[in-house]
Amino acid sequence: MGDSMDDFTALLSCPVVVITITAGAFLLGQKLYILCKRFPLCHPIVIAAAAVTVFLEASGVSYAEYKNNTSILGMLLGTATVALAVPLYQQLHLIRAYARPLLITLVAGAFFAPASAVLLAWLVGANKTTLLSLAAKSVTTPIAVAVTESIGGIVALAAGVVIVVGIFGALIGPPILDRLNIQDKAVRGFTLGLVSHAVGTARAFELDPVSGAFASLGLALTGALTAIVIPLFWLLF
Amino acid sequence: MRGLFILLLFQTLGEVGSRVLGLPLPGSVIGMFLLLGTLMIIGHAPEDIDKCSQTLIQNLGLLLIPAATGFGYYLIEVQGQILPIAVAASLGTVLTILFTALLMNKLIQRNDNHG
Repeated sequence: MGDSMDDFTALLSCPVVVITITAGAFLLGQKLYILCKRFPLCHPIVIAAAAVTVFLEASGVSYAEYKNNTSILGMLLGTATVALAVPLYQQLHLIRAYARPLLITLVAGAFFAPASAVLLAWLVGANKTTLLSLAAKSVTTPIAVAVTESIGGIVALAAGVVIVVGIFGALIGPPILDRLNIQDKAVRGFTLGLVSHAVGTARAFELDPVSGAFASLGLALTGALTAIVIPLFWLLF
Repeated sequence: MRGLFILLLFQTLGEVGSRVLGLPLPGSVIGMFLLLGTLMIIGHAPEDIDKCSQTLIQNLGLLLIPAATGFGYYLIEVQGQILPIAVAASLGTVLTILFTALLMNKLIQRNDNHG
């Protein structure tokens, strides 16, 4: 009896089953997100991760096995990182119009985001692993995962923080910008993309197409810059 | 298919470059820059690469689910680190929004004033 249960759990943990479950969970997440009128807290990834957790707990498949048997998704995440070159290339023309303000804001903002996160976390008692995993907090997730791996942080922590920051920034970003009375579409978009990567960019597109384009640019440039700077910085210290 | 092949080819080139040259950059990031440079040289993004990129980027969420699921398990393991993680994610994000928006707004106003 015990053996047949073990066989069943082994079957449930094989790649085709766990990848099907993951795809189904993502589909469910997308449906519920639209039902929730694209409210950032109902982000498809949040719902899908919750659904997968329920599956793992119910089936007795360990997270380690699940992660191991879905590793092809991690490989494709690297392919998606390469793919980011295309939207970056397509938004490059926006840089020419606003070269100086954009590039200064990019360098300052892309430095401020990880520096403030690491400093705040250090002040309230973060350990070294946590600090390393927070460095890529404002960067689009595939780049954050790659960077965190290369400097020795915890990938699951980095990915989780990036997703949380994306959702939080997309929620509070527009009201903060209103409160500051910032109406410039370039500023609103670029800020959302720099701080909240893909989730912020999606939010910016909902508010205004011009803001959306600047948000994609903010996302891509911040990712590109951070991808170079953090590993080099880490190498120096 | 050609689009996917080219993206995988650049990913492979990036991985090889990262290892052979001993660069601290992740292979996929090197692949991204190699592709960006190539697109700038040829002057346009070929349709099949554009399509494949869009498909991957639109479904990025699916590729992130294993890591996002791990976040919950990780937090249960290291409860002592929840406070710093929460402070960095919340306060850090508010400060970064304020800093970025105010700085860029100031720079654009100055740009406009100077013509």
